[in-house]
Amino acid sequence: MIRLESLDKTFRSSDRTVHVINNVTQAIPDGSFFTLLGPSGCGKTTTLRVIAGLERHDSGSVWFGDRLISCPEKRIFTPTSNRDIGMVFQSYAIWPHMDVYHNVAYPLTTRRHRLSPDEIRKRVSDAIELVGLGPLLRSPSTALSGGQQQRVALARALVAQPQVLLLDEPLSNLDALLRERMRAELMQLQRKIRVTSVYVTHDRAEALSMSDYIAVMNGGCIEMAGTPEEVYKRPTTEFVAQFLGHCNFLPATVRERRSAGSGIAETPFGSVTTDMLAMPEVGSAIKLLLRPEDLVTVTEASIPGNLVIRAKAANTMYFGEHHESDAVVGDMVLRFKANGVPIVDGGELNLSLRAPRCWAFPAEKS
Amino acid sequence: MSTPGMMAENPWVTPRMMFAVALVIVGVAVLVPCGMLIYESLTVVEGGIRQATMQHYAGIISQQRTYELLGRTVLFSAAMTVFAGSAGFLFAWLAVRTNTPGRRFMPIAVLLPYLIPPTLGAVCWILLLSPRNGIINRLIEPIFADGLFNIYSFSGMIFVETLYTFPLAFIFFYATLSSIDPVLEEASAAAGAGAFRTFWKITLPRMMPTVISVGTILFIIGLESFDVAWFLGYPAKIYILSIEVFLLTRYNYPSDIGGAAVYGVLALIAAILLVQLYRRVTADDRRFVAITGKAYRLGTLDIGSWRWLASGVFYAIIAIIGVLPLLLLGAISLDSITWPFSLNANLTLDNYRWIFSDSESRRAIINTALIALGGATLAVAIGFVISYICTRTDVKGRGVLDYIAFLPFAFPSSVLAIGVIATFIRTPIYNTIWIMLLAFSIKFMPYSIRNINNNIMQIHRELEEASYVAGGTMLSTIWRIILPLVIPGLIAAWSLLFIVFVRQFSLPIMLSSPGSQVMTIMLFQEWDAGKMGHVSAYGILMVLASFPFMVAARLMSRQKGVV
Repeated sequence: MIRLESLDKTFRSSDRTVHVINNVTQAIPDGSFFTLLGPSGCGKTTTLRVIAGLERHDSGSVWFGDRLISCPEKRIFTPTSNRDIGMVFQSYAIWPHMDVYHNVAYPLTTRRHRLSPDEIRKRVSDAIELVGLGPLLRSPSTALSGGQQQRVALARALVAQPQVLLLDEPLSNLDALLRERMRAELMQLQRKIRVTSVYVTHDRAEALSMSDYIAVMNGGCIEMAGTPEEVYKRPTTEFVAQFLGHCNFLPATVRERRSAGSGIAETPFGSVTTDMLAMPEVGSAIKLLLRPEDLVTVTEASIPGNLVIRAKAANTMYFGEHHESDAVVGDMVLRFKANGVPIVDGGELNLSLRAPRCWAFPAEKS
Repeated sequence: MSTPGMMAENPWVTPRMMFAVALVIVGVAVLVPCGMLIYESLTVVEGGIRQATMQHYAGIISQQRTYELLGRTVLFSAAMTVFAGSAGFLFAWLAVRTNTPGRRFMPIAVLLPYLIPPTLGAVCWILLLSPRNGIINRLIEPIFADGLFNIYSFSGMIFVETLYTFPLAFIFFYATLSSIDPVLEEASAAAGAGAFRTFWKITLPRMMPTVISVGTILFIIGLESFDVAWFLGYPAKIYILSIEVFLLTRYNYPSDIGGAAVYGVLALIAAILLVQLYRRVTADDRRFVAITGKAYRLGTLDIGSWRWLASGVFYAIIAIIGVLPLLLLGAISLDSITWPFSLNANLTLDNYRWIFSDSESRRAIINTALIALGGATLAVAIGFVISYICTRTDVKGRGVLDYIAFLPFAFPSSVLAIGVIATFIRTPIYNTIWIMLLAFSIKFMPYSIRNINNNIMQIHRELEEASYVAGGTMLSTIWRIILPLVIPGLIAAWSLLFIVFVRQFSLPIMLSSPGSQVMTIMLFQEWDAGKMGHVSAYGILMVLASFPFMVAARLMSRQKGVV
């Protein structure tokens, strides 16, 4: 278990001050794949580098299990080289003057380990086998492709069997196809060896598909942490909702309160059961979060339930496996995903909800 | 972002400790000589007792001659800066951005004159243009009776200094221009502007910080120019500051160290101001032009038939300042031209035989080799340590270290030499080659640091961080990661220093003594004695000795053209 407690860090330069990490407290369970997700400048990479000890924080503490790794208040700082970690860098950081073997063997030849040459050789070839690079053992590292460098970096990070694996946007330098393949491989590998992994990315698809837990960061704070499904379906803040995908907000009022977190919402197009973090009083203004895939086109004959939106289609875009269009009702525009149904811009259509429940936020007070 | 002290688990080798050692070395090497200079300027020895005095300042300030001297020095540097700088910029732009024929070979061709020490350049131009015996003046004698050109003049000094600074200006501008994305110029072309309009409206304004920083460097080079001013100005009694300092300390009898030190203090103040300017501009420079490691396409602008003229002028200059001196010196060294000018069909190697057999000359050649090898090694070693501290650690005060280490860059060598003499006069190294080795290393430490900085900064920080993550300590990371990656850069820096040290004239003329002669001093003695054959043989030997190192530097430097 990695624990970050009240982590704080500020960058000061002559012309401005940036609060890069703002009171971050987070537990990362053993063996989990934990992702720090957020836009650039949100503090995710800095947080990772603080865990690695490549960056110092101003206050708070970092624990690996019950070992206090770093705490400025107590003047405790374990240098990077004494932390039991492996790390994959955004640039891969493969040393160009060493071949694949020596890159991977390096962590076993530092003072942290005292291993026999045979043991080193065996561990290196195991690690290289693990990432599927067997035949390239003696290749000069400058001859490797991006994907191969990625694997070498991974093997090097894992060869010493560290307690913690840190990954700093490791897939962002790969082309789209390779990125998807490496995503799957990386996830399978982590599930196999179950090393506690902290993964930094700004790509929501990576975060959602690979992680056990996601922490969404914004302006140095963790806005929300939870399983991928929680952060996608039940975001606690509008920032989280919007960062994880396109959002339509449909204004509504509370008609009925069933519990602290659920009730019935009345919209201009009908009513729907909705969940919220905290359901306000009856009559309060709220807004429903409808993702493009939550809306479905229905025919006049088969209108289900009690919510239907009659609209005109516009701005249809083709994405290969689906279309996306705007449904225009008065001055409201709802983006929706049309699976298979041909949409003609300007044509009339009926939209309803795919699921019987939705998620809502309180409307801003204006 | 700063790199914290993440590597500090070895209690002895910490960044802070490295910093402390470097600060002591640089302090002794730079600050103590500066202090001694000021001390000398404010004291006088009377009856064996040293007393505080302002008489040196009073003496210097009250003389009108002082102001003429300073004015002439500034004018000389400024004129040279303008001429060499604009020619360098223009041809670098032609080589990088236009379709001038032969542009790819230009940065290589320009290294040829760079190989020729200014001392030899001056010598050659005297041979060509001295009023009575100069070859050119002799050839046109039938038309212009009394010698049309007189190289022993202020304009002659500026002319020769410009010719031999031009390659440097070209190299600096070429390096910057070729690392700037041409997209802004292309946008200008797309908007319908012609090549020259684009140059004037886009390229020049955009390069302004580089122009100013290179201008500052050239101006500093002008201020400390010694060789050309000595060979061309001294015979005509046209003095500039560096020469005056030399005359006061080493030549006049009785010597006036205090007076020389006053000039030294003036130069020191100028140096600090210029370094300040240079650093401010280069700090802006990084923000202003996005310099990337990428190699961009060359030659996208069509300048029409101007391109033939451009190419012709460039290679004519190279031929005049690079090829002609070598042919001339080569011919004289083989006795196929004898002096005063006449042709001789019988080649001999007597001159070479002499320089290798005369015991004083042999001594000088060995001394030069020792100083160049040792000095380059010392300067690179110190340079690497300081460069590492300043670019890769976050030790407090590293800015101060960087600043102090950079100061000698702007000291005229003769001024630095006074400080060095005053500092070491009571030590056994005074009057040996070791004081020269030390002075060379101090004077050229800034070049070494800048060169190595460029190399270290090209190493992606994550390559180093990956080593710490893997358990490497600071020392093992330097040894196993940084050093192997910068070794080509270190060799390049070392080679360039070697070349510069072989040709150094102004420091040895201040510091050498009968037992510690070097080649340049021998060259000067033989010149004074009128032995042109010996002079030329030394010249050719220096160029030949430098050549392999120039090739090595060229091959090893990843960032081409950073000299």
